[in-house]
Amino acid sequence: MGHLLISVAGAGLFCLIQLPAFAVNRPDPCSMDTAGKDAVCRAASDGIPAADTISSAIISGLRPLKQAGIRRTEIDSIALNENISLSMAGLLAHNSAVFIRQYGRATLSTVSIRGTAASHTQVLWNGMKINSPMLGMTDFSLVPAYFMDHAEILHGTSSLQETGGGIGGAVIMESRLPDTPGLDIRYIQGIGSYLTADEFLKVAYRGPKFSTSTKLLLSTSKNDFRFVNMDKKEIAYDENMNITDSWHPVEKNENGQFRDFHLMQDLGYDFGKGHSLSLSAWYMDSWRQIPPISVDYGSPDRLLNEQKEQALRAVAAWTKSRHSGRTRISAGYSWSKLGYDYARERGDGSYAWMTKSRSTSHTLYIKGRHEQYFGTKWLLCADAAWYGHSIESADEASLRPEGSGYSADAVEVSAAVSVKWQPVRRLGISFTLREEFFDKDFSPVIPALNMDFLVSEAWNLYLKGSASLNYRHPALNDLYFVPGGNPELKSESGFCYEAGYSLDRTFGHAVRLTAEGSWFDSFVDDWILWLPEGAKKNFWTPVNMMKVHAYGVEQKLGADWNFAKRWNFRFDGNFTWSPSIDMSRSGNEQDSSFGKQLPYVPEFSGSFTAGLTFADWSFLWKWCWYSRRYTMSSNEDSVSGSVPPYLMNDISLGRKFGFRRMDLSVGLSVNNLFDRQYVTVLSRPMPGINYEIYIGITPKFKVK
Amino acid sequence: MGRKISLFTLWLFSIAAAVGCTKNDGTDTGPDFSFVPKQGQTLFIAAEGNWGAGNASLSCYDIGNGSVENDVFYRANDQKLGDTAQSMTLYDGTLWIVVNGSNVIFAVDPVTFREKGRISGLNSPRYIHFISDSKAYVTQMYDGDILIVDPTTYSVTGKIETGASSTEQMVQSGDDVIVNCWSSQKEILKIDTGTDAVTGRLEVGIQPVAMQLDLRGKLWVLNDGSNAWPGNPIGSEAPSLKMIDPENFTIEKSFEFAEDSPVNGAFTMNAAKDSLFFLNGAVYAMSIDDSTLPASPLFKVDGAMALYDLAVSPVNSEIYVSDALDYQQNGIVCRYSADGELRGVFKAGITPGSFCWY
Repeated sequence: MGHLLISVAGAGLFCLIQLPAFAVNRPDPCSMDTAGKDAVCRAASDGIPAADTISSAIISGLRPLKQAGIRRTEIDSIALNENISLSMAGLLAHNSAVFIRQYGRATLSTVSIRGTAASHTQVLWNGMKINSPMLGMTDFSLVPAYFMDHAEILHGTSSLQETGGGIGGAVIMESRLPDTPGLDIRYIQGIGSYLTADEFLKVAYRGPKFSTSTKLLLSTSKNDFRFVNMDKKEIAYDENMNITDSWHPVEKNENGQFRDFHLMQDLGYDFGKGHSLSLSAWYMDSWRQIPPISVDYGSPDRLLNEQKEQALRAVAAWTKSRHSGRTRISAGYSWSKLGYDYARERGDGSYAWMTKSRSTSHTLYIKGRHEQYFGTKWLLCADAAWYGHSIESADEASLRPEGSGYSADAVEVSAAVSVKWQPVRRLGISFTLREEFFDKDFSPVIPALNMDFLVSEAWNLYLKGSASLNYRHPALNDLYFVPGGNPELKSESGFCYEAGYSLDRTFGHAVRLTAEGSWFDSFVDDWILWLPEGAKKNFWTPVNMMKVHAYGVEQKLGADWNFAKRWNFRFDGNFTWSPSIDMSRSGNEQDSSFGKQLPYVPEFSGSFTAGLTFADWSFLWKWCWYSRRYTMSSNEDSVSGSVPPYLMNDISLGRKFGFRRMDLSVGLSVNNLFDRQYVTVLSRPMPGINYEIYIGITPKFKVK
Repeated sequence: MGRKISLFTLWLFSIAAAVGCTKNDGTDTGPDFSFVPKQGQTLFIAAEGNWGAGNASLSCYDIGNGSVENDVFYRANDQKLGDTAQSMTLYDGTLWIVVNGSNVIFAVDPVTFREKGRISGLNSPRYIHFISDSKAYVTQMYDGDILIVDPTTYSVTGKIETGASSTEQMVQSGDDVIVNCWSSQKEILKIDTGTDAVTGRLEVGIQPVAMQLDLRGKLWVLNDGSNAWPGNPIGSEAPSLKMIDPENFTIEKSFEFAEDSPVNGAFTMNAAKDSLFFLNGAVYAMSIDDSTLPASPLFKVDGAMALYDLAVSPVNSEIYVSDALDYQQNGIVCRYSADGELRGVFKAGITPGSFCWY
């Protein structure tokens, strides 16, 4: 039999729920100690369209006590390793119910969960929060999906299990050490449209005690895709300077080059008896030009508009695992140096500088977390995290001869105690209290209650419900940016409750069906918005402006079907309906924003990935759709009042060849298959159909 | 088995075809306006939009019947006005719209709204001022040089080095043009239009934001004082109003506002040029002969959220005040009688920032 079929559903697994959670975590294909593990993980790590062997793993299981009532979307490890050019922004767009706001290809991309703002999404890597302390958000275009071995979204109240401030939710990412013993070397090269080149190298080793994984990625592109500029017209004059003709020009995405370099090192040592030490470090050096907007009539040749960012993030962790619990102590450091230049050449070689900002941030981090089981029905979790931020931000543009900027030091503390109780086999209850401190302010105590109830063992059907408060402190730029920072800002506060279900059922050995859905309802007060500091002033300032009511439905559906020998079909779909309504009353009857959808939040969105594999062949189809996004708070249908709905189709095809000394993988990805012209942000064009081919080489070693 | 696979594949591709086809969202645009602008009866409003969003627009208001047409530039030309429409000037039957963030100045027919030409390749243009039919000055935000342009050929023909980091509004005083240097600066400049050279500089206060010339030829300069930004490298102070003799370039009168006055660049005169109007949280008016600033406003704008600009009708002295509301929706323009009686409200584009009478 050319493939291995694993089915761990059934009575045997159900019995495991009686054991402590560490023994009953739902099997992750990349952490299973089964014969199928190698096949699954290797296929997922080839960096080309996932090809072989995925068909062989059909797994289902009950949720561990630790996840009682939790609403989470785990990103499939196969999706994480789909191809080396994919950022987390691109990944989440097709594999989850979040909205990605992209300012263009390889430019700022932020994540919005459940109709909230980008800063309402907390992002953790290996346990450390990596949201910019200055901006409060994370640019997901700078996070290569291929570097992450695990990613999940905690929706709404569930994010409080990990951190505070995630009014929309949290994105949890981890890089992990190899599971398979021995040496694993992998080199992948991708070449694509717009002179795009991606190089990836991974060297990993797992020994009895020591493990290491080194990943390198270099991505470069001229990124000069063409598009029909419907916002502009070219004109022709006659000899008397009368316009004789006009047309929408075909333009290039000028000034859009980028070069991103990432290096990640994971080290681990297993001391035995449950003790282990790990170190993860991630260095990034990114240079990105920023294209002019579609209505810019300046000469791109005279434009200097680019962003340079260097960042180092490192986390060391000591973990002690026991049958009755686990303790993890971690410490980390994050450094980021961000430069943004915006200038235009005057025509004589000199530049008129508009912005020359330089920001440096240092963050120290210490976190402790302990999980303790008391019998099989009680779990106590406690964690405390301390972050010390130090910021230097300056604008050296010549417009302000003496420059301007700010320095700030801030301490951020988050601590929580959580009790999880399983009074009867079918019922799980989790109650969490979290307290946060930022800069000078304590948040009120934040309670969260999560519950679930097992309705059907056969269908692994749970009903879930939760409710919580949440607070998000202003980011340091909100408080201190010069000019405009507002030290008087209050924290944003939210209340959210939700109810939903999840099911997970296997049918025989060939079919697995999963589904999850929830209704959520949240209210956010003191929403922070940056607005002009009075009319005709030359800077903006943040204010606590809005009350927002965000509610809706999230629905997820998954299927895995081995419909014939060596054939497999997988499907993962998401649908979200998320009205996010401005409930602020200004008192001005001409203000039309009350009761309207927030700008740039789609009311409807959907996505799916569908994969078909046969032996060493694979085919993947990714689809996403967003309804109209209004750009104005009054929800106008005028030409600039909204950006049109769009749907996107990407496909990829892969083939793997096995040789005696190595495996060879080749793949082709086609993005924007139907060559749709679209934007996700006004005046920021996105590329049409584009291609990338990949070749991957994995040497075989005799001793593993 | 083969048939099973074929059917499955067929199903897969039929789904692909279905989801790949969407309706073209293109909008059929064409001139379809409810009125034709007439001289003496029309007010143009340029809405700045949001910087970086490219959502500036042009509105046209018929004073006679009180109707408004929004987005007229886009509707007439099937192209967007651009990013941050900063100012408008009507010269010799052509409306010149300076679009700061788009680095372009459009020449527009004020009757058909159709583009007549454009000056492009600029560097954050702010205002255009005509010296003659074939010569105009263009100030810039991010370049202290003032560009000299030929409006007949839509081309840049030269530049004036000013030594300032940016330049803003311009008024004509005899053969001179007076220019204020606003952002993080203190000066106004005098430029000889014959030699295109700076012939005078005068410190008038922190951030001179707007200027007017009265009927006696005196120059009035409004300084916003950067009072909302104490950390401004140039400093901050209470806003002030200065009366300047443009000939000998000296300050003759000085008026100081209260420290926290929300004075901005909304500053204009009536047709007789004997009264000044400005916004300071409400609409204020003062005679050019007054010896103090007005203690109370001419009128307040009920429910105002973000008062932005104002204009006084040269025909009947009615006062038009714009309110940007939350800066994320179409702002409003309130029409008042000369003594402050509300006569109407209409919506223009996002952040209605400048007015031009036709």
